[in-house]
Amino acid sequence: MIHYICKYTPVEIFGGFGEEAQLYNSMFENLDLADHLIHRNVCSFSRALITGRLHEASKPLVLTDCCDSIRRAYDLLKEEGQDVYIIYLPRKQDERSVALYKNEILKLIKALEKGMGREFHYDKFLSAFYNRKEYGGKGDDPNTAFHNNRLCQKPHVIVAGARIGEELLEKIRKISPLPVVNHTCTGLRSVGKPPTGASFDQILEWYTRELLSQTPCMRMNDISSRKGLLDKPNIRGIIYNTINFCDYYGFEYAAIRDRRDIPMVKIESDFTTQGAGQILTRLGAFFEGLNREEASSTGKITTRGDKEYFAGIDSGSTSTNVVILDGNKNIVSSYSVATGARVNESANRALEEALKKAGIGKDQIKGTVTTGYGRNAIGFRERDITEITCHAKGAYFLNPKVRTIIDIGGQDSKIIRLNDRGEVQDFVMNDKCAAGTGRFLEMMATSLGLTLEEMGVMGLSAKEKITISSMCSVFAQSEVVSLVASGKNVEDIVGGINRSIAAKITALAGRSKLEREWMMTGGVARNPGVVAAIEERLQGRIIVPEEPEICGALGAALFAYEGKASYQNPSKAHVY
Amino acid sequence: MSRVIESFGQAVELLAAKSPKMALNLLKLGYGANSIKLNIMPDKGLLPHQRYVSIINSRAIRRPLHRPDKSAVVNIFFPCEILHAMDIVPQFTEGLACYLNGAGCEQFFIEYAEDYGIPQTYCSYHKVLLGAVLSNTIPAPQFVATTSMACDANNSTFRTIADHYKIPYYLVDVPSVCNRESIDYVANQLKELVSMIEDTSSRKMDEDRLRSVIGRANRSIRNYKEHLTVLAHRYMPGSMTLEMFKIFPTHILLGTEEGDKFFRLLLEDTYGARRAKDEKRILWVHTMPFWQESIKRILNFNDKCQILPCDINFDSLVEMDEKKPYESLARRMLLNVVNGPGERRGRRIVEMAKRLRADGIVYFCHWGCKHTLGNVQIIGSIIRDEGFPLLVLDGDGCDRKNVNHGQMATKLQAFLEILGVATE
Repeated sequence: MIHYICKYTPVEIFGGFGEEAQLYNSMFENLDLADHLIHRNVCSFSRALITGRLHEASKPLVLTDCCDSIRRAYDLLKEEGQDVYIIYLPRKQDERSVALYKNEILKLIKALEKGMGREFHYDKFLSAFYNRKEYGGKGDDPNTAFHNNRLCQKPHVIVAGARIGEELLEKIRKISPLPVVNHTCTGLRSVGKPPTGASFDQILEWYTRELLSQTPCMRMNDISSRKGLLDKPNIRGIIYNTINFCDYYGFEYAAIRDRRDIPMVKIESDFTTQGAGQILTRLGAFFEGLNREEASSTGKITTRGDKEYFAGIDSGSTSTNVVILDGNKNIVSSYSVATGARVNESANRALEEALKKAGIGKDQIKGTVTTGYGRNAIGFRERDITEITCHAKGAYFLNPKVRTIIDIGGQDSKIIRLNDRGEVQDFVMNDKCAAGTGRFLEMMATSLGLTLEEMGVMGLSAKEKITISSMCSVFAQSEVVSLVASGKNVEDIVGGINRSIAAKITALAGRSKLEREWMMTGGVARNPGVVAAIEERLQGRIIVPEEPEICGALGAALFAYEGKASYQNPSKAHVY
Repeated sequence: MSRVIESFGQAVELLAAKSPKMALNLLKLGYGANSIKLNIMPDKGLLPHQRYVSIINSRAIRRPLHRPDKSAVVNIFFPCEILHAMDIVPQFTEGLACYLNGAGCEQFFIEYAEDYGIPQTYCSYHKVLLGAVLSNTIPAPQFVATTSMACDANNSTFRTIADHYKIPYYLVDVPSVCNRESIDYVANQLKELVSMIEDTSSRKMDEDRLRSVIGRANRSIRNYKEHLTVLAHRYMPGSMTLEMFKIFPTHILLGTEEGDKFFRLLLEDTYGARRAKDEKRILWVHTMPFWQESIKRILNFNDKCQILPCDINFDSLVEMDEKKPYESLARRMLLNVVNGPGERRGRRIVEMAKRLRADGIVYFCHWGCKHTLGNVQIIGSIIRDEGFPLLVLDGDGCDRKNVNHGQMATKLQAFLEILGVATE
């Protein structure tokens, strides 16, 4: 077995040594091991590669000289004494590049002969081409062109963009309502069948051409043939994958992100299994939007008697909120508790308190829908729906004029756009960064020695316009400390903090305009200073519900009331 | 940043959002006024080569803005000798980004690029250039051309510019190893590039002129090497801005008469400089945050501290064979220390640190530069193994919003204190 990472790698050569090829694409719980060797701000995949190889390096690894990060990974692994090889991959596909790459392949054969102490066998090399499923062989990698082509005959979702970790892809396949086809850079490998009766040199030249003429990755010079990738029939949704600190695919996404013909979601992976959680939340909402069949069958609300009640539980990273509705969709009770480490327990506690407050028994609850990060962990739920869909439901219920929801929670922030039927049009979430979240405000309040309540009103009386220039929370915190040290008024500093959040939130929306009416939900909506700063940027009033933090739970309760999720029409769902 | 520059930058930003053409005119006006000031009221505290480089760099930035039809946007490692021989003026990423930073308006362009969808993790020099292009503030050049070496951003940035302006684009693909095969591979591409320029510009390459440009570049390289040898025992006051200014003559102006004159003046000033005493000599790796007040206060014109050349300014001091211009240019690119394994760059840094009698080395991790960030461990080990004190400093060469001033200043100041520099 020889490991490789890139589809341009001449893996059939490994067959000439009697070795199978295995794509190295693993994710890890964390990348701490790599952090000792390489800066954190290089491509997460290369850090995952280093992490994995430091754990286990019994097999040779063949790299292509793809990018700065992989070159550096090679340098480091070589330095660690590992059995690792690298070949130069030209960025062009012309005759000179073919000659150069052919020579690189020949050099690789010699290097492997030397490194493995074994001879290269031409006949074994040739048979490696036939050892795949499409030629009657045993291999059936779900990422092969053959497998992909089979799936593409029916409605499917594609994962496009940069390589995706196998663990994440597996999870996506599990939750997707449609088959998922891997169209990422490593999922598009296609090498044909070699000509018969040709010499080794002729075969090698043909082989080099085959490798270089595959669908180009974004690192190649001529990428024009990628343009048709997303226009194939039967594609019902696109998951566009990027990798943290790999910038190549961000450019392709920038070029296609305004497409509205196919539902699309962008995800960014850091190649850790920890980071996959938030990605799956986004995808959960995305897949809800794809579920057309369910959408067509919903909408009929059964009238229920006023003795039946419906619960919505929003298990967020900071607090767990419960809303109970009666049979006439009146809110009869709501309750919040801190989520803590045990999601199930806090949800139970919040529900019991809400029931007590309403004076009703648990047996009167006829439906329970959960939402929020912890929605899957609440054992007594009947259904879980993402907070995106629930916030939309709740906000539209509170005010049907709302077209944009600005939700700032403890650990994340979102902008959700609604159509005139209250369905999610698209949404955008912040990445794993505290800037523009409740956590950011908490950090700043701590630096200033204020409570969140004090901070909420102080910003309103700011006189001097101070700019907190750092977008990073940690940098911003030290900036705030410096401002205090330089004798600036606390009110003015708080004003600067509020404007910094407002800037981050409006930047989330990118180029698109935020359509009126705006509603702000989540705990931060209780902070009048932040609300005013966002209003200043939007140049208009924002609707703030009486209890902004229960909007998600309210949406969940409404879904419980309706008996099934009234999923939206998915045709225009578009997510960043 | 001074009040004047701050107001100027805000005015450019406001205009760029509404009328990019007016923003460009304001920029041209500002750079023009600065150029007049540099010519008629030069800073008398500066050495002749320092005054001169300020003038030629300002001209190098303004020319493509005034005559975009005769210009090309290129990257820092591009063999501009070809352009000089064909009377095409180069505009380059890092230079333009730094000048926009100097005009106090880089934030608008960074945000514009990010709003467009360019990743936040991307190099800020490239984000500034892209923002200036995508907002249509910078006029379309005749073509764009880049090399693949060292910086992954080049391919993506220049392709995006070409798509935006619908202008020709050429990538010189540079393998990481220098051998006969790769020299031919690159040289043939350079010839193909010349054909593309000839087709695009209706200008013919005069090979005698190219040889003459290369001859001048060789003379400049020889003068520069001599300067480095003499500098080992001299003290020359300087600043981060002046060190960054040298990137123009060591790269895009190499082979021009202006560049040649700069190196003559530099050598004269070096011979005229006083002998080094007990200043601590700091060699810098990668670009310098020349705009950052907190770092400027510590390093600029500090008579206890000599700023030695940053390694970008000695990345490829390879003389060329005038009789074989394309092969020589190709060889010089392939031998550039930022090309190939990190160890090569590390060895070169150490070699120069010894030659220049450095007391310490600052390794600047510029945000978004995967090459430099990825090499920090390997090059850091080489530097430490050779006994040089090393400071790894995370920062950003161009984006004011992306740095932690307090932490950076504390780290640098403490490093100098360890070396024995008494600071404020």
